[in-house]
Amino acid sequence: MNVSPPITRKGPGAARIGIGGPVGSGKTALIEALIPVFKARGIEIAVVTNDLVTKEDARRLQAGGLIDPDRVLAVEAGACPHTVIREDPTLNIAAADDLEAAFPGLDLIIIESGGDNLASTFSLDLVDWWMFVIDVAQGDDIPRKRGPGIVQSDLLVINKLDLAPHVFVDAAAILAEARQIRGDAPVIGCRARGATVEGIDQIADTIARELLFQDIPA
Amino acid sequence: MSDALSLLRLLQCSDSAFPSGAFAFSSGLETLVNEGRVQGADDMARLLEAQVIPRWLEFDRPFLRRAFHAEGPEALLDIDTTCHLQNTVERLATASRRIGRSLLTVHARVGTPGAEAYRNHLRAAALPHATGYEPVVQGMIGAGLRLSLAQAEAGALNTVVTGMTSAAVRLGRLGALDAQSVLAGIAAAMAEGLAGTAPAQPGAFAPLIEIAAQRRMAGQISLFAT
Repeated sequence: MNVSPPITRKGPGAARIGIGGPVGSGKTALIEALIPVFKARGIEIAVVTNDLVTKEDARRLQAGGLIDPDRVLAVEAGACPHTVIREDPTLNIAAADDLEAAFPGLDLIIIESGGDNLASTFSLDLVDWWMFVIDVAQGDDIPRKRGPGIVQSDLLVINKLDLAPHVFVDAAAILAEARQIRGDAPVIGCRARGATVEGIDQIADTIARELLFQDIPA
Repeated sequence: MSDALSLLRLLQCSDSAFPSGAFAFSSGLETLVNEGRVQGADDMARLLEAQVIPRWLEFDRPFLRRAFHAEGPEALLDIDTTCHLQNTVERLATASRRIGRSLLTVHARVGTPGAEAYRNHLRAAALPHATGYEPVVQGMIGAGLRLSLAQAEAGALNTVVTGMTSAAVRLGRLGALDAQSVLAGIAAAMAEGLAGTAPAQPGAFAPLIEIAAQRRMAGQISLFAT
């Protein structure tokens, strides 16, 4: 059974959370879906993106009109997405420090990893808490392949639930297997894009409860 | 500090596992590789001997030495500002600042004497685009760790050279064993350079890597930030 230890924040400033997961699993889309939810709740956020070799994700967020472009910084990870969030997270730490200095009222800094494989994890030097995003279209065997991202993350998000019938997988079975593998550690299914979204409020609730210590029932 | 203790701290800080963010930069090497100007171990050794090592000895080294002897954050800030004004290659300057500020963050967290004070001083100065240069931070850190000046210089030059060979391995132009051969072969040139007199005033002419670093095209798909 995987029981997460209590969250301990590193300092008095903004909480820092990581979002990792394979290429194309919907990490940026999830952030785009979360931004208006946080905004409506009065939670001040900034974002650090870790594109592999470009600033694509940062530019997408900056151009999207959802967030002040100055609140988005890109750290080019040099084709080593795991290095910049785990072995040597100093560039990301410096970027988060810069955002915190520029926007002293921040509640939350989201650090989006470049797309990697199931083995990526975040250094706790960098973040207070991290989630791992996979999607149903990657196959229904992803949770049982385990990997540190699946097992060790504070929250596992299974995205693109709406695609399940189109790729011939059973979304409910994937969620059930993921929950069985992770024990008490949370799993949330979601749909981050489209006419209607699903699971986004639940993810925001989890972050607000665990990181910002808001009184939201589990 | 005993020789063994200072040597151990030097080894710790020079280890490729020591986090500094340097892995994200190739200092123009990626452009040279993409253009076919660096194709293997011989090219790499020539590049190090003719461009990279002389540039460090003539430009970075004087700033490191000044910072090593500086007394207090205000004196360091003056050196940092001078380094900024004389750093005419924008992309290399940006890389130097990002690595220097990363180093400062790490040493502040691990409690290296002087690091926290200088980091706070830089924050108060609010000049993130003009301060925190790598050789300045390296000099300050060397003094804080009570290394000898010679140790601090050797560690800094070694970091630059091993960073370049590591980048060449990731770019597929050197095998991991080839890289060690290049490093072994270039060590004498590094030692000779360190044994020479440091210039009183910084100034460098390494056009191949400096122009290559600047020539990186916007939108180009790259493995490195420089």
